[in-house]
Amino acid sequence: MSEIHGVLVGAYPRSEQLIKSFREYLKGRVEKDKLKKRILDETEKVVEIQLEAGLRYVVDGMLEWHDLLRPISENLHGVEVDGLARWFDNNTFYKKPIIKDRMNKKNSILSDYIYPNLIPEGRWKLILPDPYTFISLSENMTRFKIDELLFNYAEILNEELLEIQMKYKVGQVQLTAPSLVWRKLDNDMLGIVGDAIEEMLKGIHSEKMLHFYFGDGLNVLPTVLDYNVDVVGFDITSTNLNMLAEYDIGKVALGIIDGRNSLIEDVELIVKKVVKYIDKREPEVLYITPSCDLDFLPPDIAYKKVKLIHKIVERLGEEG
Amino acid sequence: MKLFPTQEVGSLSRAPFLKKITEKSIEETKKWGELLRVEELDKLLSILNKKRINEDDMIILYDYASLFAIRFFESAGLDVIWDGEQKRVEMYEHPLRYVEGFTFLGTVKVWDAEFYRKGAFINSPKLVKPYHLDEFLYVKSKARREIKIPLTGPYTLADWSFDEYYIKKYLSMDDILEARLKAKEEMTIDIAKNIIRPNIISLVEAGAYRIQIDEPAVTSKPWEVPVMVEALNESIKGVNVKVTLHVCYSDYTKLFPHIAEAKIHQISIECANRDTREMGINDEKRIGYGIIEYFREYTPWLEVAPGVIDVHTDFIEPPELVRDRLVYSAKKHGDESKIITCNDCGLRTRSWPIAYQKEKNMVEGANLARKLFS
Repeated sequence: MSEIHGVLVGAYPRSEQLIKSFREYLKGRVEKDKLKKRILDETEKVVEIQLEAGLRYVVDGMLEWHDLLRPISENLHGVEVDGLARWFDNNTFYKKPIIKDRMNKKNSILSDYIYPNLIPEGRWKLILPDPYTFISLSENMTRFKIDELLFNYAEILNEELLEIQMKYKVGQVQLTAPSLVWRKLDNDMLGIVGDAIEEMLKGIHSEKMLHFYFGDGLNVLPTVLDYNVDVVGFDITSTNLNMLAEYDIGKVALGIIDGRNSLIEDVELIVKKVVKYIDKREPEVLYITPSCDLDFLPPDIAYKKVKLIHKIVERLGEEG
Repeated sequence: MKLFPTQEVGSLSRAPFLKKITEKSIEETKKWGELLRVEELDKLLSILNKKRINEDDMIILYDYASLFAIRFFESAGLDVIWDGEQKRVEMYEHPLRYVEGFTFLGTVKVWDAEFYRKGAFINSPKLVKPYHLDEFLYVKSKARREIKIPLTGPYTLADWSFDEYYIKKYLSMDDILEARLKAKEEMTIDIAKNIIRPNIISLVEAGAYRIQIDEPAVTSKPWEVPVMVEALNESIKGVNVKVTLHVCYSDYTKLFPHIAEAKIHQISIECANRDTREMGINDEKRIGYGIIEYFREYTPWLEVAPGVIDVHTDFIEPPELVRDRLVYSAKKHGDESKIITCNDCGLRTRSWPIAYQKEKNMVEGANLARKLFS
């Protein structure tokens, strides 16, 4: 029988008040301390929402992250942040890292961006971009080839993760990997990426998850099943669930709640689809997740989606 | 026939008196009003000098803003103009305020601290009233040049919205990608039929001859370009009007070959932003304009309006640079009569002094190019 849990896979939306605080801060009208206090207050709420929904691991909401790459790109020597680029097929943009030299860690990359102390010990979930996503979304202005940059990134982030592990008990580390499924990559590249991911997660004791969104998860199957991770997550708004069920994945995350649409899905319809998947595959552990970050939605809708995950997990429990 | 006619794309930053009214902004208003020879400037200044501006005054101020922008483009010498969208909130929220079957849900991120108010289609959309008609009638009553009205296209309105209605019909399908595409197509076509087309008809009945449909979202999902084209054709079905499609900051190669099916007359694209600032008419200097070859290959009948002014920088393009961009475009296209002079996009992000000088140089650059072909 599959063990079923709910978990989030990315950032939570900022409230109207927090948006306002960020704007005021950027205009120099609010001190950093005041902004930080607002972020802390909202992070507490985001954590509370997930705890109430009984999610197995809890994200801190990543409310301070302007985009998935920014805390990293702004804290590496050899990288500058330049103009806006489209975030996959969304009406959302990120600031492009420009790699100008071999990358090196400045100090701590994430310490200003994470709030593990607000989460019960062992349940904190940390999310980072996988090496290929970070490098492929950057502009390479160095003489280094892509594989060298992948390992350069992986080594730096591994050092960062090990430092975090010394301080906190991390429940799950997720590498978010949209670039790996956005286009189909050749097997040689997928092999190199697998090695870079292994390097990045070397010595990490938490549950290791790789999550693919915005693209067809079938693009990386079956190669990705050989990667040294525990859980593989898919965006089921972009991946055919029946075809996914052709693959035997021990611990799987089904991103079946649409993180980019406000429609609150029908519980029974989702349960029916998941039960059909379980009947065919019966994974050891199955996570019900949003397809992607929830920050494509207004906060009220995001809240309803978290509640929905709770209901679906409960209903699946009743189904046995 | 005039070669390289000049035209505007849409927006201009707010007239000085639509910002906070201060002594400085009143002085600025007076300066621009005199330069642009705006009629009844004294009446405007007397309103601005009032202790309290009421709602009726605001209506008059918006009319003046429109008038200032009209005179701005006329004074710069453009052949085809608009009022800089002085009366619009922005391109997404403004039209959807006039749509039933749609509801705003809250703010979502665009980047960093930039957010927009996003909503969902909760039913088949219905137009409450044509939302550009009053604006058009005012511009028509004042303009001394030909006018072109920009409208946000059906695909972009669909793509930037949530769907709580159409997708429901398809959620039980096994192939979720197919389900999403079907729902998107249905939603986009409904917006075209029920919202955009009635707007265009009302404008044409009021005397509009040129319209511009803005579709900035289209190449973000290249596989949906055929949906955009189908909706575009639905929007203009049976209407006798000259249609420009404006797409910017996109990978234009994704438009091909489907764009050939669009029943449009002109396409306006951003090129200056990706070009060098050096003079010359060779491939190395004009790297922003290589895409014109695609138009020659697939749609030689279309007029192409490559942006020759970068609207995201205060750099003032010299007339000679504008000239070279136009000459190169004509050379790439093979038919100079198909090349139109315009900006990359609206000028909303530039100050009036910068925008004005850019437009004047654009007009001067077109004159220089024209001389080479006469």
